[in-house]
Amino acid sequence: MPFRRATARARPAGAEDLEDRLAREIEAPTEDPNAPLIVAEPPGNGPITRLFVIWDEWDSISQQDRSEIIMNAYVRAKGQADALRISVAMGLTRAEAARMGVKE
Amino acid sequence: MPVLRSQLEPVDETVNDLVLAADDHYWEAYELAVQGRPFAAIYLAGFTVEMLLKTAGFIVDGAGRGDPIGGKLGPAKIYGGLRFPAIRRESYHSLRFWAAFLEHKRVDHGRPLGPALLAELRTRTARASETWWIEMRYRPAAPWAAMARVEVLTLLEDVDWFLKNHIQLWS
Repeated sequence: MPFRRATARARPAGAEDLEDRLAREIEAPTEDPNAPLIVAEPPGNGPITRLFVIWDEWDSISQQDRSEIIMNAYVRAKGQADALRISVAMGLTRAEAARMGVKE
Repeated sequence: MPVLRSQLEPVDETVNDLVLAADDHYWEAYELAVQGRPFAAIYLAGFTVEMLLKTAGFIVDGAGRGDPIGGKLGPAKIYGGLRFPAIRRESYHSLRFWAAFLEHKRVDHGRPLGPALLAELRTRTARASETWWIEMRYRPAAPWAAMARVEVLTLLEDVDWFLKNHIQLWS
């Protein structure tokens, strides 16, 4: 068994893949039913301050990790200036979104 | 069969949970200090400051009392990394990080803290950070009991200030 030092805090398995897929979806939304559904608030044309990403692939991932993955993807897709305006980045499975009343 | 974790863990904690927990932990810390357990008292008292700073920052940034905390951590990480990159997050437990978050968010929202409150915030956060940090949980209490006995009262005074000024910090 190889010996190695741990890094500061391991990202969950699959985090990079989820981040890549989410960044692509933010940049160029698709109609793929398996793609994450991104709900941005507030409604209208003003700056986006809240992001809800509804995706059943979040299932085994903690809320903290989901939030970090969403923000990393958002910075990649939209840049730092837009990311600074975000105060909420929540990842929700479809069941969680329904419980919270976040509309798809 | 124990059920506490299974009852609590699946439910994302809210802003209000943290505010209520901060008050609980302050009094628990106080009791521990009175019982001659200063190291444990410091451990809980520091959490109180963390939760009060964190919630003040989130409320300034538009959070409601019932809002879950989890979705605010990713944005806070990015925000801190861009606005005050020299301050480490310490796994989202750093008092300095949350004080800076609050200070910067107040400026961004056009409601900077007044000079007297800001000076108190900085002084008390810096002092509390010299006593408490999250990783102290891995240290044994006994070798540091004498030092903890000296510092616990100052920390409790600082925690008391944060409790009494929590509303001023976010309003």
